[in-house]
Amino acid sequence: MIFIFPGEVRLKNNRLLVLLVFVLLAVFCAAIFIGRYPKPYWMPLNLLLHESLAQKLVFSLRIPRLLMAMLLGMSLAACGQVLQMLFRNPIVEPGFLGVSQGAAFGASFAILFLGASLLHVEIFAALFALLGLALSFAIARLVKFGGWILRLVLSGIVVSAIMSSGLGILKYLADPLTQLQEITFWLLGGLWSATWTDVLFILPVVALCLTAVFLMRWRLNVLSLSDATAFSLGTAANRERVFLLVCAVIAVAAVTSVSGIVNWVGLIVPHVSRRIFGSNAQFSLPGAMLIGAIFSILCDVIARTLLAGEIPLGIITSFLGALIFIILMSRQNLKAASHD
Amino acid sequence: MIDAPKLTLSNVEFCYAQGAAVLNSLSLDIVPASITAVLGPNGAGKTTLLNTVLGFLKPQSGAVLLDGVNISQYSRSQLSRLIGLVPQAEHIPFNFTVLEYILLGRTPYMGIFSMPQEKDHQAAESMLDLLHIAHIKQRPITELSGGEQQLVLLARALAQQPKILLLDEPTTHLDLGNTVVILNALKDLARRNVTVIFTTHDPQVAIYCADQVVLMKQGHVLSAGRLQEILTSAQLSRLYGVQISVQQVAGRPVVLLPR
Amino acid sequence: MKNRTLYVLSTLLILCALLMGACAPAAVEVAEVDQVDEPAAAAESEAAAAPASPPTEESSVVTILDSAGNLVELESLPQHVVVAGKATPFTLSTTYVFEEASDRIVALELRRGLLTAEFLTLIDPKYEQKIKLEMESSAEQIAPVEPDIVITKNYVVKSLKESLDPLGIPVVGLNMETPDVFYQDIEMLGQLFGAPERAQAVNAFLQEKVNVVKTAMQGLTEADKPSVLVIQYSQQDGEVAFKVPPASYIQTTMVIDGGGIPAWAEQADEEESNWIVVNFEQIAAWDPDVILVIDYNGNPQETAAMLKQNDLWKELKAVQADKVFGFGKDYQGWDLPDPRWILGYTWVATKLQPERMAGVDMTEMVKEFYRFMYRLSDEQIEASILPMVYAD
Repeated sequence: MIFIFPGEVRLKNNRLLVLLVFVLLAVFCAAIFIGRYPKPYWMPLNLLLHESLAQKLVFSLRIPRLLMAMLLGMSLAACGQVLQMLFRNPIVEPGFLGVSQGAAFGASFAILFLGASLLHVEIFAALFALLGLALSFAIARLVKFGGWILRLVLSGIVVSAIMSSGLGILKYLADPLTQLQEITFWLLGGLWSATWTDVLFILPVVALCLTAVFLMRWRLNVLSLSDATAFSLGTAANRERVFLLVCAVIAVAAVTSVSGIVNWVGLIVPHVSRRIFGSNAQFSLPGAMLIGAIFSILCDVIARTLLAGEIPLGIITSFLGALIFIILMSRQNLKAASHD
Repeated sequence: MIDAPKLTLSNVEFCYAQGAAVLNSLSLDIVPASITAVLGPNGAGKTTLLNTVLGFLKPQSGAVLLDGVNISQYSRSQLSRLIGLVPQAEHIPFNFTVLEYILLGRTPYMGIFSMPQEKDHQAAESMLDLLHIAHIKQRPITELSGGEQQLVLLARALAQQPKILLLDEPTTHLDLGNTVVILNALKDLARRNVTVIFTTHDPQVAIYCADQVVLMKQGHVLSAGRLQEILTSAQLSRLYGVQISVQQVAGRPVVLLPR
Repeated sequence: MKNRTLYVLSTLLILCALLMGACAPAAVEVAEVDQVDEPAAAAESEAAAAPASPPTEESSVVTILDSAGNLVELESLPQHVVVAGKATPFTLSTTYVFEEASDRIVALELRRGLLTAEFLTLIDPKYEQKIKLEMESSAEQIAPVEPDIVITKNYVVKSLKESLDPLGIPVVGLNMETPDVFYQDIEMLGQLFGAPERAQAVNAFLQEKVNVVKTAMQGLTEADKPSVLVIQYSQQDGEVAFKVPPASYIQTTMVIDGGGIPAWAEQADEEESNWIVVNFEQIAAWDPDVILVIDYNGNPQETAAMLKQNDLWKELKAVQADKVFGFGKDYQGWDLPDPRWILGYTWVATKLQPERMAGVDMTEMVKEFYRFMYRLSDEQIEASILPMVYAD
């Protein structure tokens, strides 16, 4: 395939992708040794080899959590890239279009009213995530002023707010005493409760969806063109776009049902990836997934190691994400800019 | 060489959701392997005509036929290997490189999950050479001038290796030099048995390369036929509602506007 | 250029959304009930305020001064008392220490999901006749009941005063968050109910029990003190969280006075005013000698037993020494700002320094507590209180 007859650019991009894979592996391995035990930050290899508590910690807590962080980062980044290309809007991500919030709402709803069976939770998370996206899109079409970019962002903010409020109402109705504390978990995200069960349960769904998105990474380029052009090039544009969106959103819903709402990853990572690889999704999509995984692992390491208490993951990603966003914005026009 | 399919429009009626009819009982026979210029004032329905031939817009009644078969019978992938469209301009939101953008034209030959193969890359590269734009192949398309963009759009459509090529006002943004490049490319295509249909509002462009001319007004075909017969002072004046004079200069027709 | 404006505008919008998102949970946390989240600074200033005695010039005027310095003067003892605002379970438990409460409280706010109603039915024969207000009642719900005075939790006083002052309804607050300020609160209630002797008796009772612990701890050296972890186990939304209390909460005092070293408090931020989530790694890093497990929603003893079975927890020193205990609780946890704090205070000491506290029998103490505080008979205690006690 692409590796057999490389042109210069393709070769460079492929090499970069391979490099990113190695970086991800390195970060993953390093993160295994970082935590609060036995002292903050570094766990010596010796300890891991000989002490049973250390081994149990690493295998039962750290590794599933790292895997979860990886899946989270990949899904959010992939979904962000898909949304940005299909909506031709560089300022969207799952957290801005009501997808993450819908997933959190659906998951909470299922837990509160249907018992916490993992299957119900995932299904409802997916349903409401898709609903959130559909609503954002529909409302954007209704709004009468502003360019497309502005309309979509505005309606996304509206739908996200509605879903978040729904979440708040659910919590308040359920048990105003203790549940109100838990809302922080949903709104700001956190991986401290990730277990092997969670990972193994969402892994098939996420793997399936992300594989589908990955396989269509070149097609994504075509689908980002206008309707007429996509048609003339032989695609069933609307059907294929919906398929891509559904896959991307379901992956995000699955990870969000475990991790809560984590913002900004889906916005920043695709931009960074496009900086490196160009807009061609053939490379920038896998790039985004890898960079998303790396970024997510790094943020989670900070969240669980910096202080004795857990810092919600969303706070770290928002902080770092917003910082990087400002840097990107001030350097030059967003790469996905239209020109006058 | 494979024969170009015969394209016919038969009593095509089309209107957009809320509007009046844009194409009114339009019937047309396109001569295969020729260059047909569609002339008409703004609002005549030229772009709609192209999109209908493309199959993107479905007529409310009447049919577009390829070799006698309604194009709705063709599968999307078949159609995309037969007909290509070069739009007038494209709002391009992402900074693909020129080469990547042309490569998109190879989609009809790729499955949903496929990546471009070496032969696709070669086809794309050859389009660059054909249109003399090889020097910009790594440039992001957002940084191109209007003329260069038009050439890239043409290259992409050509990468589809279509039998019928549709162009919507291809020379509107181009300087004379680039205009000649495009029109020469079209002549070359016709020699290779590709049917070319383009819309324009400049009769001079039609004169340069077209064999056949169609005059369109308000969704109707006023007249159609060989260039020499149709492009007369009387016809053009009727079409545009202004006094236009067609003179012969150095053996070729030249269009003159009133003093 | 049009697009530059667009991007600036969009950035501003996004930053606003980010700020709103960051603020929203904070706003939600402020709305938190139940858990004591009064900032440490305020508690300190209240502890410093000296209790005032009523002026003697006009004996017909009733003066009530609460621990925050709110002064209320009434012509006669309030006969219609309303208990409202947040954290009413604690406010009610404290108020009912005075038997006048049964007659004089005409309306009270109930919180869903707690056993307040059951407890009040037990201790107040007139409970059924009282008006039950909605949660977080506003002035509109309180005023029609025509209260002479409203008692609430200290951090609600300000907002309730704003709406009730124009109606001429006075508001006082109970703090209850440290032993010292608790005594002041009892004195205030004594003024309110016209029962200063009872107030003194209650405070004497509490101080006597505190002294039992303090005497037992005399001569205790640092080396004798075990490191202790107080952890709340909370399982909501299918998500398990372990939380440690902020250093300013009463649990810290209980551990220190009880002869232990609070393992989590050194690292906890002094300014924290909310429970802090920690992961198991941190618990393993602290590896305390004793672990006290709070479970507000379930049975702490069962929770502690479950944790002891857990593969990871088995590696902890405390589990191996069998020093993991479910934190005492009956109708309400013993670690909350509620008269029961004295039970928690004593219980913690018995767990941390069992030899020194060998003379104390918790069951007897519970009986004594309920006899004295709530005037329950032994039969009532046997029937209704003891079965509710979960204390290792």
